[in-house]
Amino acid sequence: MADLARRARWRRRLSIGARYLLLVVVAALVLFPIYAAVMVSQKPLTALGDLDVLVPDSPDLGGFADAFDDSNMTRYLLNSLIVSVLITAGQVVTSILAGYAFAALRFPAKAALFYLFLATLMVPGEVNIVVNLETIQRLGWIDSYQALVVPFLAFAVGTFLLRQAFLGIPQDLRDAAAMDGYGHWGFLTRVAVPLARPTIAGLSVFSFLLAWNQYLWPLVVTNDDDFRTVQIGLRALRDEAGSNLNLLMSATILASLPILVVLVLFERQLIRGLTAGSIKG
Amino acid sequence: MAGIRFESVTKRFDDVVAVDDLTLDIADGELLVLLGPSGCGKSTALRLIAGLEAPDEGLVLIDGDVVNDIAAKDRDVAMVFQSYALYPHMTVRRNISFPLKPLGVDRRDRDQRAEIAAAQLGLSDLLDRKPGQLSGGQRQRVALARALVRDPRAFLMDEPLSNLDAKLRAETRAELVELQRRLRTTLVFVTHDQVEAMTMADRIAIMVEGSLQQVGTPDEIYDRPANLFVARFIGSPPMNTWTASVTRNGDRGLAVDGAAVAIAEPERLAGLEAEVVVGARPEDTSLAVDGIPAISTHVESLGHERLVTCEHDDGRRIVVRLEAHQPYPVTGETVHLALDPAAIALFDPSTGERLP
Amino acid sequence: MTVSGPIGIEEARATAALRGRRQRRGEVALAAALLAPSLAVFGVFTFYPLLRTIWLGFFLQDPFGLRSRWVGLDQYRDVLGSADFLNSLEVTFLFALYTVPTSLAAGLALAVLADQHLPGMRIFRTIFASTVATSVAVASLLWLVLLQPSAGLINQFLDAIGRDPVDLLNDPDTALPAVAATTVWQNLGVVFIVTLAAMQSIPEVLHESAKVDGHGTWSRFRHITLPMLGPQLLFLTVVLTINAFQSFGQIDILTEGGPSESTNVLVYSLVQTLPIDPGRAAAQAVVLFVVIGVLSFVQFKWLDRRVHYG
Repeated sequence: MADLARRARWRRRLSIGARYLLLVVVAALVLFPIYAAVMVSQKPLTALGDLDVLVPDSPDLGGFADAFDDSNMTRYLLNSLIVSVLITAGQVVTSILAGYAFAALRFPAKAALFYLFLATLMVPGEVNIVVNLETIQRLGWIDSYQALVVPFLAFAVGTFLLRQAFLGIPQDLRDAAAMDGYGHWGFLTRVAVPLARPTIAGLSVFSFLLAWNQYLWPLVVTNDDDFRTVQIGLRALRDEAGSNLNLLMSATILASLPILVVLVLFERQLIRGLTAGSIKG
Repeated sequence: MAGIRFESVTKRFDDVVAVDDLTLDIADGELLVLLGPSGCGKSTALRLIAGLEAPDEGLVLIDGDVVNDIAAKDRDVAMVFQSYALYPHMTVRRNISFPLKPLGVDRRDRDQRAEIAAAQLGLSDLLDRKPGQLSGGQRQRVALARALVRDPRAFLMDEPLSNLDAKLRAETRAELVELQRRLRTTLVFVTHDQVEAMTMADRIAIMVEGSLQQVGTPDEIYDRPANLFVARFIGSPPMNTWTASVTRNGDRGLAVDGAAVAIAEPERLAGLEAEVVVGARPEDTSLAVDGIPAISTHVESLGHERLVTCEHDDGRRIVVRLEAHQPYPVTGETVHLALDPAAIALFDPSTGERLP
Repeated sequence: MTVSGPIGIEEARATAALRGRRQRRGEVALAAALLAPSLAVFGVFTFYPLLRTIWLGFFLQDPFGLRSRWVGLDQYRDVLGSADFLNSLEVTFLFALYTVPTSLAAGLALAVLADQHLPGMRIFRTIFASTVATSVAVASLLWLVLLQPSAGLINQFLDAIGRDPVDLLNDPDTALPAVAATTVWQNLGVVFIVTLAAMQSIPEVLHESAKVDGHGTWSRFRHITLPMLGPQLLFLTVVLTINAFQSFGQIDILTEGGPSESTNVLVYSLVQTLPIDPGRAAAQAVVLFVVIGVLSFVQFKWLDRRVHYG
């Protein structure tokens, strides 16, 4: 008996060891492009066929310094930050307002309007790019923050998430607030929004991520370096840097750092934001 | 301080008539209990006063003013909900002071008044906690404090004690009554619990299926129920009832299952046709040598009294309340029931209405 | 407790009804105000452009873009019949075919791996989810470290073992799969996060009872986990397919549509046409919209029947 028990224990340990080994190997595979990029950003390439580049060495931040020197990296990063923060704030605000209307108010054609909101998710931005570019040109907004921000100030997913969150607040609390002297606006700002904070956090992270990573739209509405976001900056750098991967990877890593920070700090909220959309298809 | 008046108020939800042509006066400073089984429309009536529902027909008046079109937030009445409806993200202090802000009370005064209200209800040590950190009884007190804090024209309470355990419920009941007597603010209290109604109310209004059955002091309701529904709803165990035939051997008399039943004022029977429903409370029903035959099926001892359940041939049950020292029958024994001639209630067998 | 004040009951009744209506109108006004910002943005940047794009597709632009001429459906017919467009359509379909099933399978595999109770699992979960943070530009450039012909690591490696260098992005046979690989990698995070969350919401007791009934790991995955993930997998399939049909950035950075148009996907082709011939670009956009719409609808109908909603 004791023998059997010992053998079972060994088997379990072996199986746990194998599972960890598998996890580590898979994690290494997933991370490899990132790891390689970090290594390449650390040291200039010496000779072809030299795989030493993949061996960690004392960190050399020269590539990062070059990235700031050789390009408008600071400007790009700042632009991305400004644009992403404005889009996130705007989407959160418009989603709160519209979500509350759909959750708490009675008005004609409510269901139809709600479907109209959801229908916007069926129209890819790429399809509208021809006319939206025309609109931006006509407004004289080419090379401006408005062009990068305003078209994204409404978000059906956000409206939907906030509506769900508001619907989850007990009717008694709404009634209690009415008895305590608060109308819809007072209830919204003092009770509903504070209670919807987890949803708002998830939406914020999600919106920020989408805004930061935008590519096509910033590309077509900006020509001036002063208004280009970091994604478009990277594209320009790719053309300039050519085979100088050291510089290019330093810039790429810089462009991902803010998002990495957001991901590490707000992983839970992001997961909530991403999964909420997929619940029940 | 305010009186409240319903005038021919009807409220429907789709096809269901929640409140049916309700006319009711609630006096200034009164503690009125709206009593009825669940779904009888009592909560809807309360919400009509609150302004959380609007009447389909009729008028609701507070202090003589029609408030049909006044929003809940502008009616200056306070409500305590069954769920307490505390704001989970606010501390006790902020929960209590929340109704003061729309009144334009400045922050320092708000806090001070919240602290006074909290002190009245023994919540002073809990001001910085959030509702999630409180016991059920403490939450209930916070809800009360929130209602008290702005000295409203009237308090509305919707089953505020139903989530408390029995002991706490009895204590809180007494405290509430004392509080209301002290403040002399109109209180409309909704409950399905007749003990709460009997012990707390100045007057009770009983509702069934949206319509008002009777309004009166607890004693009036107990002693002179307006109809069979009220008679059977109030009192635990409820009033015993029998169908009696009206006999005409000389003067009119009553007979149940062949046994004569004496009535103190036989002139009450004048003008009655063949049948009438006779009612007597369990304490007005007694065991006798001679009377309505029945079989004792069950005896419960409550210490200070005994409840003897008897069954008639047709399966109807009757409960007799005996003092603890009185002799009582064994199970299965045939007994004879006598009714206190002065305490007999008469009801119309077709309408269920009380006869004089 | 009788009615006091200047108005009698009858008048009060009338004004009450009137003001009741006014209050409801107030609620409608508030709703309008709350919806206005979103509706304005959607109106100007989603619905108006959609209609106008369809309209523009009916016009032929002269080469200088100065005048345009109504050509009706001719332009749509022209776009649908052109070899360029058909090539783009085929390339895009292939791209979706390369990326969608692979992303789903790989992301799901990561989720299965991470759905165990072992110490330190949080780290692995963060690593597996990490690619969700990469933008299309970042993902493409990261892969350039491997794929770049003169200094990329693949060729470094081939050189080190004495083989000839390859140029995957410059070979019509390998360019699209290479770009697809970067996209699959970028998709891993989303698929992982969504499927893992769904897996963790499957009640443990289902697995336990299946275990008692003698089902092994694979059987449990096949008969419990997979069916329970149905709604999420359907959602991901539709979303990833739509994404594949909208892909632009990875092409723009890695191949610019080449070599020999082998990676010229629909959106890339559209953006190339845009400055030259907006009318034709509009027609292309409308076709893209219809293709995406039909595809989503078909997938949804076809897969939805196979999905079990728990």
